[in-house]
Order: sequence, then structure tokens, then C-alpha cells
Amino acid sequence: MWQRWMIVHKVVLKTVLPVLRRLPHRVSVALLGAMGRLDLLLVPNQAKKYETAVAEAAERLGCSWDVKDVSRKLSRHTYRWRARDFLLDGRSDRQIAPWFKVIGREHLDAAVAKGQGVVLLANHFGSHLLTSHWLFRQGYPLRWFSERPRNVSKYMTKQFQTDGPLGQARMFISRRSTPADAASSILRAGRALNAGLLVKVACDVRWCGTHTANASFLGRPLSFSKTWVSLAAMSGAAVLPVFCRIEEDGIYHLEFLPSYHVPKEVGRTGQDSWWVQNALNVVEDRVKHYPEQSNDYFFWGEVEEQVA
Amino acid sequence: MINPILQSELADSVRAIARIPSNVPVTAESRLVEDLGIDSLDLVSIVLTAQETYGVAIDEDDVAELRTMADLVVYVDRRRNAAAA
Repeated sequence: MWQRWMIVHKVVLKTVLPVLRRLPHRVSVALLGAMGRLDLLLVPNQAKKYETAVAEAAERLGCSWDVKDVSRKLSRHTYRWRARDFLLDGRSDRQIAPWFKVIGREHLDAAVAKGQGVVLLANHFGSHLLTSHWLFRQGYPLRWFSERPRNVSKYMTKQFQTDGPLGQARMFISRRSTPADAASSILRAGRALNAGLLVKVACDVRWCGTHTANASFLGRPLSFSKTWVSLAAMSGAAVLPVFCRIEEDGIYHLEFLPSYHVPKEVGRTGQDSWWVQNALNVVEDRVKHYPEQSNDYFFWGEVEEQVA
Repeated sequence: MINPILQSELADSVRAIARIPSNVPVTAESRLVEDLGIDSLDLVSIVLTAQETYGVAIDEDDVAELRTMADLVVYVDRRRNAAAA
């Protein structure tokens, strides 16, 4: 049911986005919020679905959230989250600049200034795609070490068309890659870091296989990729955690945390799981503070089944 | 012709990095992934160690072509000779 509803969201968004992009940003964001609320009010069992997901998360995390209030807020963010960075397409850098409130830019610039590359430690919290959008707009040399995203703005798609040895085109990975292909991608990402580029890697990617770490996230034991730890250790690049959430007024709150380094010998000492857990703890902390920004996490099970 | 000394050194390196049990033979014919169970991060470590140990540059694009121990030994040997020339 949830998967079917996600498809409905996609169709609705495809229809309304061209109109929303012509409106003032604040109005567009408000309308997307209203659409999410309508979902909750009009679609049978939708409110129950949200409340169950929020209540379960609250129980697992030991949080005393007002379940109905969080569910309402979460529903208002659903279409905003699904809209990804499409609202910014066709807008100039000057137009979108006031829509971002950036905290900790000094951490970003200090990490970049070291010249050893930056592992931009991303996640799926809030409006996570807007971090990359902002970085591209600001001219930071960013590459993604991830699967190719299916739905991003035309602006972002254009940024991904960089070619050459350090180009984005050959840095995308796939769950279906052979170990040799995956190794090539990791080496390319390492080379990009050595050249001083920023490489975005999500710390909350559930993965199967040998190079994974078991960690607790949102009160559940899960298996995560630890490739980002290996990449940071082998390159010596600074690791910079980043978060982005969208507020009711349409402002994207970008937050760069202080950077850190992963010791080179982390693989040999078997401490990589600790780094994975540590990064997830920081994300979990944000979820506890801003549960309404956790659309992706609270419905994870269903999304996973859709992929399978 | 495979350089036997290099093959022995690389076999030791592969065995150590991928934690291959001593009862599993690492020969020139051994397939890195299928026979030795090497995964992507092991392969990255093998490549980086070879680069460091032998002072050779291994192109990321060539890694996909290194299917067997013999491929790895011949590739590193060729790169080492090219660097020395």
C-alpha cells in the first residue's frame, strides 16, 4: 500500500512541480505541506500508518514525542521530502541563496583548506539532497560515492556529467557491481580525495556482505556499509558530517559539524565498527531532536521491500 | 613468463590481506574473486599495497582486468619494468 502511495506521490509531484516552481518558494513549500496534510486527512488508514510508525520509533528510541503532533508534521514534510531538489530547478544562484541558512561553514572550509580531500559524511535525514545542491551552487568540487540517484533536478543531473579520471560518471556504484568494479570505484574515490575533492558518502547505507558493520540504529540492529571508514582511513581525508533539514518557512538549514580523521590502521585494529556506530549515533541524535524530518527512516522497511 | 619471486611475494600479500586459510592454495591460476573469495575492499588493499611495495602506479580501470593471480603478477611486473626503464 505504502509503495503504491509513493507512486501516487510521484505522479502528483510530476504534475504540480512545474506550477510550484513558478510560485514564490515559501508558497510552494507551504502548498507541499498542505498536500501532505491532505494525504493524512483523506487517505484511509494513512493517519494510522504515520502514527504507528512514529509511535514505534518513539518506543525504540525512548522518546516521549507527541505522536499525533509528530505524525502531522511528518506528513507535511512528506511531499517536501519527495520533491527532493526539484523546487530549485530553473532558479538562479541569487534567488536561492536566501533559502539556505548555513551553520558551520567554517568547518567545511577548514576541511577543504587542508587539501587532503573531504569525505562528506551524509545521511538520509531531512532534505539531505539539498546539501549537494548547495555545494554545487557554491562551486565546491563535489563527487558522489553512491548509486546514481534516480530523481534529482536537471541542475544536479548536469553537475553529475563531469567526465575524465576524476569525473562523476565513473564514480557511481551499484549493488550489482562485481568486487573488481567496486574496487575500481573505491580507488577512483580515493584518487578524487587525494586531489582535494569532496566525496559524498552516506553513513546510513544498509548493506550485506563481508565489509559491513553491525550497528544499532533507531533502536534496531542492522548491517551497514563501512566503505566510508576504509575510504577515510586509506586517503587520510577529513571526515565532515553534514545535515540538512527543511523548516515550515521553506528555509533549508544546513549544518556542517567539525571534521575528524579516521586512523590509517583502523581496518587492522578492527575498530571500523566503532566509527560506523559513532556516525550513526550522531544521525540518531538528530532524529530524536527532529523526528518530523525523518520521513525516510520511519518507513524504511517498506522502502527496502520495494527495492527488493 | 611469470616472475616466480614476485608471484610468491604477491601470493603472501594476498593471503595476508584477504585472510586466506593456509589450506587454500594461492597459485597463478587462482581466480581472485571466485577461488580466493576476495572482495572489493580486499582488492583495494591488495592494489594499494602493491603500489606502495613495488613503486608502481595501478590504473583503476585496469583493476577489473585482474581476474587471476597470474594477471596480477604479470601486471605488476610489467608496470615495475616500465617504471625502471
